[in-house]
Amino acid sequence: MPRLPPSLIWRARSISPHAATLLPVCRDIPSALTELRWIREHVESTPSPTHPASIRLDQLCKRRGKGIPLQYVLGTQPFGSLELQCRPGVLIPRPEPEAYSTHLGHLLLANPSLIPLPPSKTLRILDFCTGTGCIALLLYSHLSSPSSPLQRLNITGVDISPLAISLSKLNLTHNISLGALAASTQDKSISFIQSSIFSPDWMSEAQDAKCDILISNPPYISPRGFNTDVARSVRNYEPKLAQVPEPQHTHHPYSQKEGVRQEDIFYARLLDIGAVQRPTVMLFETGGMDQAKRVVEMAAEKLGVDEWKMEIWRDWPDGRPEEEEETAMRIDGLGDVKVKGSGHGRSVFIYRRK
Amino acid sequence: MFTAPWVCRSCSRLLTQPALRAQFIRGYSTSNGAVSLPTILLQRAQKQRAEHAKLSSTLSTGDFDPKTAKRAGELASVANALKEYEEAKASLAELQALLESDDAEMREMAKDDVEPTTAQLDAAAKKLSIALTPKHPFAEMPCLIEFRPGPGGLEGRFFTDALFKMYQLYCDRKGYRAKVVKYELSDQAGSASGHAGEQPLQEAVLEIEDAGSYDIFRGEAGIHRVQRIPTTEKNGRTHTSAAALWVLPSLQESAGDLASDFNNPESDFYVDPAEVKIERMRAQGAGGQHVNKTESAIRLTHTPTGIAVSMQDHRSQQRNRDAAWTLLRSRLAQKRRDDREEQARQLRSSVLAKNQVTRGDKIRTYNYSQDRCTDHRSGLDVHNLPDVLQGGDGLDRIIESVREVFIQNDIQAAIADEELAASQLEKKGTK
Repeated sequence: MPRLPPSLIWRARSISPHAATLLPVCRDIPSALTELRWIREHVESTPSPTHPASIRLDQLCKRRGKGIPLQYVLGTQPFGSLELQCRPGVLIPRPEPEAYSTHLGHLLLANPSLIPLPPSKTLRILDFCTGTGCIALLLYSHLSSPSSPLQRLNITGVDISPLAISLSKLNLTHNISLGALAASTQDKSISFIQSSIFSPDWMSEAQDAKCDILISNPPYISPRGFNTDVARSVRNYEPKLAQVPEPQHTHHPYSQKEGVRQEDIFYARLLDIGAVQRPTVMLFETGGMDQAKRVVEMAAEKLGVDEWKMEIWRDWPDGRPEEEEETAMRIDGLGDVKVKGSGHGRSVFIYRRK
Repeated sequence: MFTAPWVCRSCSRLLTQPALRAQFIRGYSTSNGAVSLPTILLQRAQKQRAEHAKLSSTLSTGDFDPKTAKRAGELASVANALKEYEEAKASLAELQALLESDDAEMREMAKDDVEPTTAQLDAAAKKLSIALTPKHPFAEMPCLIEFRPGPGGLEGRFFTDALFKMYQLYCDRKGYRAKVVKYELSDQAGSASGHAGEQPLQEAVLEIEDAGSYDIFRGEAGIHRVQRIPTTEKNGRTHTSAAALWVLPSLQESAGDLASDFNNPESDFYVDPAEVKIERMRAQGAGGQHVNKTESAIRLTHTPTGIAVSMQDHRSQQRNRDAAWTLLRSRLAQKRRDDREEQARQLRSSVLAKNQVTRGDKIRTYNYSQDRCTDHRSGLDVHNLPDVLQGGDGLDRIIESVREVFIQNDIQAAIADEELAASQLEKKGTK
């Protein structure tokens, strides 16, 4: 990271000493002032009887200045219409999952024919590696709204970390108490369970366990990429478990499989589960266009292209592509694959042909 | 002697010479002798009453149509006001007849009654002319007030912040629900600070959520000029700088009105999403799990008009995007309305053009050293600047005076439109 010029630090200090504290992590004055305002708003909106506001502001700025993510400092992150609690040990929700979950929600509501379902049957959604529960909760908020044509809905969030499961449960009750979510009813429910994606339970062919939508934001960064591409604050303060698939954590046979890179292990497993459970729609987050292409190839090989269709969604699936961004991508043995939106290749969308 | 701590010499001379007072002091209420209501307005009222009668008869026969009912409701006020006016006029005529009678007692009684009846007629005429004036299409809406410093550095930015706080305090005092949509400071200030904790404001947007606030604040749009000695000035010279205010109609989603439905291409608020370029803060590098940017800024550009809106106030990108779209819609609606008004103005006689204030004109001056705030449209001086800047009664008086001027202008414009229509009809007839 380049050194900050002292003149910049002096300028920040002359505006506010807190701005200078935040400068090393924000890198420029406008964003330092913006974060300072958010911290100040947070302190003002949560008055504490024991600690004066000025001391709390001081403490929070110091913690943020050390590089601790703002979401851990403030304890929350807005996500769509929700407000999610964030705790160290659970990955912070990013804006990209917000974009593709919202897009998927709108897509499902606009084209009910995407999932042909008799009205009496329950739509089941499985969200692996749910973390704070962000994707599951946002989909629940879209699909359980009164305007939704869905009668019955069941969403399950799965994570291996007990910390994540307790946090996601907390987020559910927190958002219900805020009025951002409807409480679970018999017909529309959401739950979180602790389990490993490599548990044999997920390969059962029992009819009642099958899901209609499989969605996941799995760990997808290679050990090398973790050291080179990941931002320092993420590397130091966010859980590595949520980012790098590590064989010793998961002891599964996939790590020995031929031709599967370590960062793609979870996709191999997700596609295996998909082949057994046969959902109608699958959506997996990926770490860039190259990985997205690899996942499309893996899916084509595993599931076949006669029955399934694949799309790659960029960071902002509903955005207009920039001039240099292609709207289709040629993949060997598959032909053209549609690429939607603008930004990096962020997710792979797989759905069954009619 | 005076409530104001300082009065300029020419003013004080005027005030001490009672004979001159009436001649030189300009009244801000330019009431134009309402008793003599222009015939053209009367004709218009009669026409509208006839229409109202027709509409209500169709409505009563059972043909209920919400559009007709709405129109009838609009015309009802005109019909009522006209009835009141005619009654007052009839009773005045009766009194006039009595005044000429031979009975001395009768004459005396009638004489006593003339004054209240005239006042009644006056009020009825005023009511009628207000009812006849077409209501501003955005009048019922809540509004957004946008603040931007004029060119000229820091001093203008500080003053813009003073204005922002003034309107915030005013809304507090009047009980309007005001929400800060955007409050962006400039980072150029360095160690300088303005009067009484003013911040160097770059751009701010205040939303006033009460329905009808557009009508209250629309007169505030324009250039506000300040004359004072900046805190940064070492030689004690007075500087003049300016801040621009825009007042935009804000659309509330609950309003199910056709004209305010922004999905309807006919509406002023309609924006074709294909014409809007959306720019987001892009994460450098791979994005996704690799980084954790708190940046949530978004920028919308409407390509045909070049109107750009950027928003980064909230941590939630969705909230920023929604706010940016609202602001873009409001700006476009205001622009479309302004364009239409401009066209209408060009059609009218040029007499009125003088009264119309366009965006580029300064509308108000805040002079700190003379402790004075002057509105250039109503000509009202208020000699208690701190009270005005605290959003106190002084500001109330100014806003009220401007509204009065606007109503007068609207009435004149309505008369001009009517005359124009009549003359065009005549031309057609002679051809």
